[in-house]
Amino acid sequence: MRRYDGKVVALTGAASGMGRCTALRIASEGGTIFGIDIDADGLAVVASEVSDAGGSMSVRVTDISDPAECAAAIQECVDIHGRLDVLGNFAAISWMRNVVEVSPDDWRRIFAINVDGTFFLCQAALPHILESRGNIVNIASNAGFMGQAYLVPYCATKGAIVQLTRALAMEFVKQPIRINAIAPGGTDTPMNEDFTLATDTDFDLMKPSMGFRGFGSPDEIAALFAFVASDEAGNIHGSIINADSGLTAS
Amino acid sequence: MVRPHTQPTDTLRGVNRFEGKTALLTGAASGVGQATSIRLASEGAQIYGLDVNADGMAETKATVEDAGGTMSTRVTDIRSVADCRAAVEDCVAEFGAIDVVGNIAGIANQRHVHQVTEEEWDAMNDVNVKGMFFLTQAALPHVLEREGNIINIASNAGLMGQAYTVPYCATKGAVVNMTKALAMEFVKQPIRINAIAPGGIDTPLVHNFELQEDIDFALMQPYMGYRDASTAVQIAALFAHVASDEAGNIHGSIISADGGLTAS
Repeated sequence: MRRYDGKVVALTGAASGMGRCTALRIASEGGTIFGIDIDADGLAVVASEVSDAGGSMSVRVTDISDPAECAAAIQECVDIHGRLDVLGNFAAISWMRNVVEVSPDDWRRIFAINVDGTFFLCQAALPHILESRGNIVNIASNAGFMGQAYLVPYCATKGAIVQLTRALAMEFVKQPIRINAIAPGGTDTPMNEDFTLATDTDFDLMKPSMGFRGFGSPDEIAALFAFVASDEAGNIHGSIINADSGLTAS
Repeated sequence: MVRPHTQPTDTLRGVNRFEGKTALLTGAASGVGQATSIRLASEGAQIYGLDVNADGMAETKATVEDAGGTMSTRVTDIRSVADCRAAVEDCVAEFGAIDVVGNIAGIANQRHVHQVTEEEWDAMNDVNVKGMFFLTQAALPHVLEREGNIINIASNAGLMGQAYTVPYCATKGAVVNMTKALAMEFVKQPIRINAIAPGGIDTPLVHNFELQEDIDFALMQPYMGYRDASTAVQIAALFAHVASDEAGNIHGSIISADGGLTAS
């Protein structure tokens, strides 16, 4: 018996990075994946990777910044697969920018994806998670715990994910479901490859969030996700689990 | 080493994550220490168990060996620095290395602040903090040699104020920050140091809690929570993930596993 046999796992951000690695990992443990992303080509590649490895994955191109799309995606997952056991909220955007250069549209866009998307997907998924006695894992960040220069909007969204997760956990503490977050440090994913430095970057200010150990691997986040979302982690609820090679230890 | 029948059905894809590794575990006679001994042995680890309770450790060892695993035990009082050092030497003499250290031994009680005696205060600190520190200090050279890792057992009590358990909270707060400080001191070396912070667990440590008189139960509600007590087996499963090579980027983390106690 594998940990995800018979389970349906919806993952946002499934087209690349941690979402992709988690799709591959959970499919390899028997889970059926419902992949959500705005990147249709990336989703198709991951679905064929999962299929080539003997797993099962369906996909839906979805812009999670639209609450109606979030609800429609969850509905489609349940229509196709008949249930929803785990929701993994990976999708997010990030960029480095001086505070003065952040436009109102920049600010609204990063919150719409990183925070609104997670909230409205949770809201839509909760009735199904309650029915399956399943669980939700949100992806926060070390940026939700420490102040990082040139990442003010991103830090604000990830701080929101930390507290959104804890508040959800309290609201459902009497129901048999679990809600947690994983807070990775810098991870070797396309999101971090695309980083452009802010204008006139002072590297001294970036040191605390660079750490000493380099980037983590998305496979390590996938392995942690696979543990936390499994029935082995039955007592883990309302936790924000740091996996950042020591960034938040100091 | 062939261990065909000991893999739990719920672990990973038939991989024995601890094959060829030695785990030094304190508190191995009962509760989380016993469950972790059994779990890691089932995934291929050789267990070197420490505890003051010889009978309990014999029981753990028999369970491990019945399942085809390997375990040695040493009656050790971690309050003694000399005994910590000797235990580490004996472990290395027998198994040749230390890959994983689990500082699991701990004591707890419930008292009004005014009832706490100097002896009780010292005993709590000697086991929960001083013993953990000096065992870690002795084991570190060996863990560095193997690029291994250390897991300390903290508690929700290290992260929240709990009425009637002031000394226990103080020791577990010390464990939380000792873990983070150790993680920073070794952040440039290829070893990992983390803590697990369980909530109430169904173990002898909690069974021995005698409720004091004149308790205001409203003050206890925040740390009683709404969910059933955790099981030692659940903490052992988390320990196994964090101590395995799959958790290579988990360092300096305090991982709460408390059924939601610290979410509020």
